[in-house]
Amino acid sequence: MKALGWGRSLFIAVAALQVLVILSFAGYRELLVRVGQEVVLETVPVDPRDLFRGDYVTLRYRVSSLLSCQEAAVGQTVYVPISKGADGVTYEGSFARLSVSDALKELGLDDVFLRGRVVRGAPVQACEVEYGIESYFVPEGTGKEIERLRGQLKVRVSVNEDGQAVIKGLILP
Amino acid sequence: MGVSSPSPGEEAFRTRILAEVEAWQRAKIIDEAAAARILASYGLAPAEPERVWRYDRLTIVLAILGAVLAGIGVILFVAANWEGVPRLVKVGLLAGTLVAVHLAAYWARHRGLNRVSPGLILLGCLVYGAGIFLVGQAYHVPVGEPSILLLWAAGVLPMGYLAVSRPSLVLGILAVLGWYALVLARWEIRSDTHMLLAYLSWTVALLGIGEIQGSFARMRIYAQPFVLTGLIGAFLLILPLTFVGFLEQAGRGGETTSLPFPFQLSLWALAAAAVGTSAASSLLGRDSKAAVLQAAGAVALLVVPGVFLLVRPFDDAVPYAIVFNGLAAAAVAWAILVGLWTQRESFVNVGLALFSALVVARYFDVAFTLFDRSLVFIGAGLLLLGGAYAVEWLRRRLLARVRAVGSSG
Repeated sequence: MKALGWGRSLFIAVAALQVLVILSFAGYRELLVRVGQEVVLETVPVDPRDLFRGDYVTLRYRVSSLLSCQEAAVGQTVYVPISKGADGVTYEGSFARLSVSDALKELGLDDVFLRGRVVRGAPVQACEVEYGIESYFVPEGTGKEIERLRGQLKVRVSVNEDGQAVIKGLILP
Repeated sequence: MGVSSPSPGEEAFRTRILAEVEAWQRAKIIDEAAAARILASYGLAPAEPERVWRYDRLTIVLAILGAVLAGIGVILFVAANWEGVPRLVKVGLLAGTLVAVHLAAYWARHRGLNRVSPGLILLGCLVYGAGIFLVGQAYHVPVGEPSILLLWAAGVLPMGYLAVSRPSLVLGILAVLGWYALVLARWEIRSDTHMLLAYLSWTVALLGIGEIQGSFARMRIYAQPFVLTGLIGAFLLILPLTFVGFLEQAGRGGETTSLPFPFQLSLWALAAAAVGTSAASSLLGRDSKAAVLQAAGAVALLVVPGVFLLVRPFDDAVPYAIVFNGLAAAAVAWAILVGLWTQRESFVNVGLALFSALVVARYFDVAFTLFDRSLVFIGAGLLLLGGAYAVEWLRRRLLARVRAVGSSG
């Protein structure tokens, strides 16, 4: 067996880098799904199509529109405390805080906060926030069915201690 | 072919001597006959450069087409969203496929199957991209998440350099540009003119990076993807500016300072990179006059639109269209001149392509306002028939001149 030369080693290294990137990307997301706290959010879906990644529905949540973002600028990261609503299952929130510590002060026993990014807003008025959970990929051709359930859909989301969220699944009526 | 693999040291020397002979030929230090004698003295067949550096084009094209089709098939598999398979199994399958393709590419390359290995390397890069997209799909990562394309580029560009795979380098460059486009979408930049200037800065910077790499013998093989992407991209961005309608629709676009600060920062950084890489390439160029001409033209492609679109000295769109048509015509002349001076056919070809696009665009601009639609299309057909013949005749004359200058040393 010939000894490894610099060409072979580098090729193996770059190929391994590509495999590692895929596995790390998946591993991080899988960890988030398994160890985060599960919360249920209400949604309102729309159904576009992404050529490269199949059918997906765009989700908006009640917590996507907030009463206050504390003068956060568009693109700024905010932290939204959420707690269980009147039904005892679905989580709700209406304002954002600009730091993790401020958000933590608002939390009760079972509460969590979501980390989001302001996409539209004005100082001290209602703002729109995205949390990285606005797309849900569905089997081809089933997007319209989900769209018909607009307003009745809920989503199970896993949230870690940094407020990062990942979708676990849909709750159909 | 059953060729025994050389040792790593021999392989490195073989690669180096082939690159040097190629560089000497380009610099007109030796002719083709001398190159063949030099290679033969090292036990390399005279056809070796042809086989390694100028493959059997049909076979290579077929191999790359096969790779692209297979890669598209993988991406479509992802798109079909195969629900029955658990997501970790899907990820494992793709990772395994990626390893298999890389192994095949490595085996093909070191067995001397130089007509197949480029396709396999490109396929590996496409499978890698499919893997990232699959993970995004499986975990519902938002559509338009820029980091996915950046991850793709981060894996593809090193492979492109290592495997000397020009298609992979182009793929990586396009992934980086796609990443930036998604970032702009996230910032919700609504000014067409500012976005155009940002992309123009990218293309001029790519051109500069390509020229810098072309200044070094060992890096020269990697230059063309950057040069061509930059050149074609810049010309594609200049072309819309020549339309009065585009400028009317684009409007003023608002003041630069009203745009999100991260975008302003990126715009100025890209512009600085474009000017900086062009300046560096002019200093490093072997033929200083040609290098200065090339760099000056590249910078002008950015600065002229930048000044007129940001300062906006005119109130009406027509004067801008006149200025930008003049710029486009100058760009055509610049590209052809650089191509002739540096013996690069690609510049001549791209310059003539822009010239053809301008003629067609201006014909439709004028003809639709003067003639009946049916006459316009008849005229367009005749123009294309005659124009294509004329442009091809001109192209062959220019390329013959490029080659004649090259062979006369």
